Formats: sequence, structure tokens, C-alpha cells
Amino acid sequence: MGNARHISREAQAFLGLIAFALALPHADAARSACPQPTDLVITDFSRRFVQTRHLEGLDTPLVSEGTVSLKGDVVDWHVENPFDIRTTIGPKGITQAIGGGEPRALQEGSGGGIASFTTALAALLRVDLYALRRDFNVAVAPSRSGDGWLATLKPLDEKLAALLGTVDIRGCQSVDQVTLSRPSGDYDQIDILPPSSSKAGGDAVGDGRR
Amino acid sequence: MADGKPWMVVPSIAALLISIVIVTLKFSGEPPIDTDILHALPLAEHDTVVAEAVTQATAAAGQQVTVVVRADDAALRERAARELTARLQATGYFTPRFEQGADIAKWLFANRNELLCPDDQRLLATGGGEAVGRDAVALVLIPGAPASGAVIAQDPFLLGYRLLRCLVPPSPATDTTATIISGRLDTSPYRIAVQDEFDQAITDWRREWSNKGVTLARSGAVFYAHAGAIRARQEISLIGGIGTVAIILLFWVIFQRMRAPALAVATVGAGILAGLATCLTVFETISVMTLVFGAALVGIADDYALHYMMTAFAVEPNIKTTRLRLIFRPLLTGMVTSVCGFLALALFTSPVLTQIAVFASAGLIASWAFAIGVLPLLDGGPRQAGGAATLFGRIAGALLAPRLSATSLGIGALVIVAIMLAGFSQLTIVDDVRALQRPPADLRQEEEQVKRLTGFQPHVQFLLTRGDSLESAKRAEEDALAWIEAHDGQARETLFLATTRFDPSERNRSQARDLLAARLFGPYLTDQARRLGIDPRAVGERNTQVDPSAAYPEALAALRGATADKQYLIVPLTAVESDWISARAKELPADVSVVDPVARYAAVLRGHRQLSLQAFGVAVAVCAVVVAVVYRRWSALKIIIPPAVAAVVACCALALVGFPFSFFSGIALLVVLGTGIDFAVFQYEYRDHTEHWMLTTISLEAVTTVISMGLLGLSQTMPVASFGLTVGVGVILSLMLSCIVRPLRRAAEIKNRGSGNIDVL
Repeated sequence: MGNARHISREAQAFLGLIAFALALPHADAARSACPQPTDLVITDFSRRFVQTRHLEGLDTPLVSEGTVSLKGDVVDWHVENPFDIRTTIGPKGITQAIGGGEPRALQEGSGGGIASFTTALAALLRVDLYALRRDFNVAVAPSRSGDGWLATLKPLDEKLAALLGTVDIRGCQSVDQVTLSRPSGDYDQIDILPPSSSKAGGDAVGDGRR
Repeated sequence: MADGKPWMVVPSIAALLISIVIVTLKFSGEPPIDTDILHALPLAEHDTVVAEAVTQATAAAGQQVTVVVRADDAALRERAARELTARLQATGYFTPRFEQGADIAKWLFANRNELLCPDDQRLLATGGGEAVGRDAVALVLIPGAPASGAVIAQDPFLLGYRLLRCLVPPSPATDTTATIISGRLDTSPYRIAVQDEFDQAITDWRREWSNKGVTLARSGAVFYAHAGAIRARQEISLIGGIGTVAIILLFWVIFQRMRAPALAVATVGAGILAGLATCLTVFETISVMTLVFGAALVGIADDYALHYMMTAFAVEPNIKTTRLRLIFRPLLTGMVTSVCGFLALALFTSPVLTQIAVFASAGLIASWAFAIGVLPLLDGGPRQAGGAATLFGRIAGALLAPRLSATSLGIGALVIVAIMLAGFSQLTIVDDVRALQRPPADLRQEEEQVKRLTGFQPHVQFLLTRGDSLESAKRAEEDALAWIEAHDGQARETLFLATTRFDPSERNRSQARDLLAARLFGPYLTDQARRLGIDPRAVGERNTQVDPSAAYPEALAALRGATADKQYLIVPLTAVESDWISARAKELPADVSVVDPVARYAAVLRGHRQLSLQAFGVAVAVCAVVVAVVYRRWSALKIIIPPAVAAVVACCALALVGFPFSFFSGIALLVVLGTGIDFAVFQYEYRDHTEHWMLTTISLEAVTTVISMGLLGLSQTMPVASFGLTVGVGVILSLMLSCIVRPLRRAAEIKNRGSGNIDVL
């Protein structure tokens, strides 16, 4: 039995080596499949999203889903569930139409301060780090899972930083997930689903853990 | 101590030392100098509520600051704007608008259950509560929306946010190459330390950003006040400097020894120190205009030194008491009449004129005391006049002691009458406050840019509502705003800065509370709580909480005030709104009126211009009484004629060359009287061999006065220039006309001897 165990250990080590050797090309392939965020060129797109807001004091997270479309520097954030809300965010400001009604202006112009994140949304979805660096400190690193990259944004403006906290963008060929972590303890997770995904259901919503 | 007036020595030196200590202490910290030119305006306003409100509204308007940063590159511009905001905040005097907005947002949140927007009032009244709930959810679901869980749990309909959007208009629109920084100074823009730090922040910013293609345009009283302060400093240096240098040179040339100008400077210095110390003791700060006028004191104060030192040429050597006796009475008479002239300025309720009256009176008394107390101890004995003094004396003698026949007197009188008639026909009058300042062209251009880019219209007038209590004042304002909105659909946006929009009367609070309870919370709160994931049982209690500890926003506190028996509220108006409302003023509620501070200041200036002429008449009468008391002769009253006539002719002569008459010309008449009377007094006093030096003395006196005061005519500030020109021309005319005093006196004496009348009071 002892001999068998010995062989077994050798076999295990061997198998481990094989496994490692086999795994290496896959890891390289995964990394090579994810270009650096600075190398990304993301064209206009339209994708499903699921947003989950975890707010202190609220018993359950606020979940919304719909379609986000990026066209030029304008983002069309179309919530379909819980009800129809179309928010258009661009250099001219922010408008919102509820239930197919007339759009009403929420903000004129791109502005600064509190609207910086919202108005930077187009740059964020396009992973335009050059544009994002106007308002944020940007740090890029490989993601922990090794299957993409993680860009961490911290607002340059101290007051905005105190309100907004940190923005983590995860992705590979494009943005897959955005997490806003606020100093108050609130945090939002936005999952941008792959283009091939069917209409997201409740299962597609992230578990909310960071 | 047989020389001079020994009893004056110790008080003079003690006063000088105390003055030095006071001035040193006061200037050891931030300079106690006020640069607000509007403080030169009289305070007279019979309606105390209006007076308080005008002061408050003017101060609030003066604290507004708007800066536009321009650059084609948006990122560069935003960085530059952010850094400029940080630099301005680092001064410790500037609060940006977004921070003021935070105060108001907190207030609205705390009071959200008792406030309602007019639109929401209508929406709820027509059953739109469900829409209010959906709006709140839609806002929360915007990616990155800043609504926190804590806020949503307390305010599930986001009423605080709705109120903020409705009541506070969005930032003014700009073109795509501009970023606006607007905010408020937390202190007076007329403090020199504030101006200097603000200017330094902008200069540093420009040094870093202007070469990167980023430009800046400014709008705000602090920038104008700073430009005015720089100009005033330059003028003080120029006028005071040239005056001092010219007088030193004159004294050195005439007396041919360096001790003479040193003694003159010491006499003037004693006066200025005493004036400054007295002003800083009586008033908290001293106006920059007082300092400019004070610089002119040099021209009067040195006269006392001049008179004393001139006696060195007129008496036998080493008899100083005789020297002083020669001039003591006329010097005292001249000083008292001059002080009376300056004190008459205090009759006007202008803070600056009161300061000038105090400054000049204390300064003249101190200089006079120094001249008769200390100067005899320091000046040498009698001596022979040098060549320059002799030459000057001959010229003065030729000009001031001409042989005047009845014909020449008649021709002179005709010329004077002709000038007066021609001058009166050309006389123009300026009472407009806006003519008081000529702001620098670059600042005017920058302000135009700011107006163009922001659509900003200055709030020059305001709606004033008063009541016996705050509640009644609020109700009156609410009624007035409702009336205005009913007639002008745009009024709600343009008249947003009104107390009752943010802090309504109990009547309106109660209505809002009831409507919210009946049409929103009652039917929809439970559903809204569920929709947002909140426990419906807990939300009801949290939702109706009102935070009584929320601080009252400073922007709103600036809109209300109180007098002894009235509470009042202010709503700033642009010129367009003001014109529109003023045209319908009769339809406004009784306790509501439109106030135009500029028009009120102009009316007050007009009244005080008229009063200045009356004061001139009173001062002439007072001087006549002083002269009559001192000389106890009817003929001595002729002393009053030259300065009085000179003052009037000076105004007429200036009118002939197109210089308008203003309140400040009016007060200059008092100074002409106060200084010009000296010439006539000395002409009246002297009748022996010392006459020659007396004429030299009063000529030099006039020269020094004109050098110092006439130079004020070069000032870019209209009140100062107006004052200086009138005094300069008036003093020259006073000197020239003083030569008629002796012939008139002699004629009276001959007549009295012939008739046997006794010319004694």
C-alpha cells in the first residue's frame, strides 16, 4: 500500500505538471484574448443590462433591466423593467421620458461635480481612458480571475469622491460589469450582458457581492 | 519756556505720542481701510425699513462673484476651472454656488413635507400622486444617480430633490467653450485684505493657465473695489507725494535751510497722525476717500508752520514771543474758521464726510498746536530773508497789494458778475451715483463677456415687503408673487430668489402639509415603499419627520431683516422685471413696493447737494459771527466777502469749461470758505512794515494749498476730482480777491474818522 501511495504521489505530481503545462497555453490564450483597455476600440453598440442597487436602509436591492445603446457620445439608457424609463445622457445634458411620455430635461449641459459620472458614462462604456482621466484617477490591472482587466476610477474632485466613491470597470473585449462603491456603504452593480444574451431574467442579476 | 506757548508744548507732544501708538496698533493687523465708495453717500432716508433694506441688498449684491473660464479644449477648461475654484476657496472668503446649493438642498429636504412647487401643487390636486412616485423611481434608476439609501428611506418620493429642481433654476447656459464659476464672498468685498488675496489667487492662476490658451472674464464688486483701491493708493501716493515734495522744495528755497522743510513736515505729520488716530478711535475703519481727502490736509496744515517761520523775516532777532504774538490771533481765527468749515461736513449724514470732518478738524487743531507750541522751540531766531524769499515777496506784493481805485474795483466787480452770469447759464448738475466711478475698461469688457455668456442680468432693484410680524410679511410677499406670476408667466423663474418660495408662511405650509397628506402620502406611500424595497411600516414615520435643526441657508438669511417695529423681505429684481412691476405698482398689495437703490441714492444726493448750498450759507454766517466776535468791528465782516465770492465764482468758472456741479462741489465750497478766509484775515490784520512778509506768507499758503488740493482734480474718481478742482480754483480766487479787504477796511476807517462813528461792536 505504501508503494502504491508512493506511486500515487508521483502520479499526482506528474498529473499536476501535465495539468499545469496544459493550463499554461489556455491562460496565455485567455490573456491574449483580452487586449489592454488602452488598445480597445469599441464601436457603437446596443446591449442588455441589469442594474442592481444595494442601498443602505432598503430591505431588498433595487433591480432594473433594459437596453443600453451607445451612439457617438450619447448613451440611451432604456429601462424596461420595472417600467418604461428612457434616459438619454449626452453632452447636451440628461433627459428622461417615463412610460413613453415626453422627454423632460434633468440637466442642461455636461456640467461637472455630481453629474461627472453620469456624463462620463459614454467614455466609460467605450473604455476611453484618455477621456476618463479628465475627471478620474484611473488604475488598470488584470482582473483577479485572470480572465480580463479591471480599471478602477477614483474622482479627482474630492467632493465628488466623497459622494461617488470608487468605480470598478471589469471587462475583456468590452465592458462587462461596472461597480460603484460609495463611502456611505451603498453600492451599485451594472452587468452589461454579452451581445448574444437573450433577454435577461432574474437569474442574470449579479449576486451583489464584491 | 518763555518762547512760544509753553502750555501747548506738553499736550502737543503727548497727543503726538498717543497718536503714534494708536496708528501703530491699528495698522499692526489687517489695514482698517474701507474701499466702498458708496459710503461717501449720505445715509439720509426717512423710511428706516427702506434704508436698512437698501444697505442689505447693496451688500448682498456686492458679494456676488462670477468668473467665466474659456478654452476650446473642454478637458483643459474643466481642469483650469476646478483649479481656479480651489484657489478662490483657499482664500477662505469664497463659497462656490454649488456649496450654497448644498445648504439650500439640506433646508428643502428638512422642510419637504411643508413645501410644494406650484407645478406639483397642481399635479397633486389633479390626482397626479402616482406620477410623483414613478418620477422618484425613475431618478433612482439612472446609472450613478447620487440618491443614497438613507435619503430614499426618509424621502421615498424624493420631494427634496423635486423642490430643488423646481425652486432653484439651473446654472446659466453657456457656450461650449466656457465654464462658469459663480459664488458668494463670505465677507465684505471692500476689505483690502480680501481684495488682495482674491487678486493674488487670480494672478497666480493666470500665470499658470493663460499661456495654455485658457482665458478668464470676471464680474463682481470685489474686482471693481480692488481696481478702485489700487487707483486710490496711486492717487494718495501721487497727490500726497507731489504735495509733500513740492512743499519741501518750496520751504527749502524760501528759507534756505533744511530745518525749514523738516519743521513743515513735522507740523503736517503731527496733523495727519492726529487726524488718523482720532478717526480710527471714533470709527472702526477709515474710508479710502478720507485718506485721499486727508492727503490734501498737507496743504492746509503746513500753513501754520509757514506763518510762524515767515515771522523770522519780519521782526528783530531773538524775540520769539513777539514773532508768535504777530500771528497768534489771525492763526487762531484762521484755524477756528477752517475747523468750522470742515465740521460743517458732518452736517451731512454721509459716513465718509463725517470721517473727513473728524480727520481734518483733529488734524488742523493738532498742527496748529504743534506750530504754536513746539515750533518756536525748534525754529531758529529771526534772520535776513534770502534772494528767493525776497523775490517771492515782491511778486506777492505786486499781485496782492495793488493800488485799487474805485474804477478798477468796479471793473473787477463787473468781470466777476459776468463770469457768474455766464457760468450759471452753462451750469450742469450731476446727482447720478453711477457717475461717481469710472471703472477700468478691461473690467467693463470682462463683465460684458460674463453677461453675454451667462445671460446674467444684475439685480439692481428689489421688491420690498414689510409686515408687523415675519408671518404677515411672508403672507404679503406670497400674495405679491402670486399676483406677479398671474400677470407674467416667466416670473417664477426670474424671481426665484424669494424667501417665501423656500420658507413660506404658516398658512402656505399648512396647505402644503394637508395636500401632501391627502393626495400623496395617504394613497401612495405604501405602494411606493414596496416599489423601492422599504418596509412600509417604518417609512410612514420617517417620511413625515421634519428636521427642525436644519440651518437656515445664508442666501435666504440675506433676504430678510428687521427694524425696531417691522419685519421685511427682499426679492432681487433685474431692471426688466423692475420696470414691468413698477409700471403696475399701484396694483401691488399695500405693504409691497419696488425699491431702486440707484434712484434713491440720486434723490438723496440731490437733496444733499441743495443742503450743501444751505450749509455754505450757514457757514458764511458762522464765520461772520466768529470774525465779529474776534475783532469786535463791523468793518471786519468784509473779511467774509473774498472767500464767499470766490467759492461761488469758482463753481461758475468750472461750469464755463464744462465741469458739472455736484454734491461734492457743494462741500468743496465749505473748504474754500474755511481756507480762503485765512487770506482775508491776514490782509485785514496787518497794517505796518510786516505787511510785505504777510503777503508773501499768504501767497505761499495759497500755493501749497493749491498744490495739494488742486492735485485732487487729477483723480479718476469723480467726487475727488470735483472737490479738488473746486477747492483749487476757489483758493486761487480767494487769494486774488483778498486784496480788496485792505482798501475796504481803509475806506471804512476814513469814513468812520470823518463821520465820527465808532466802528466797534
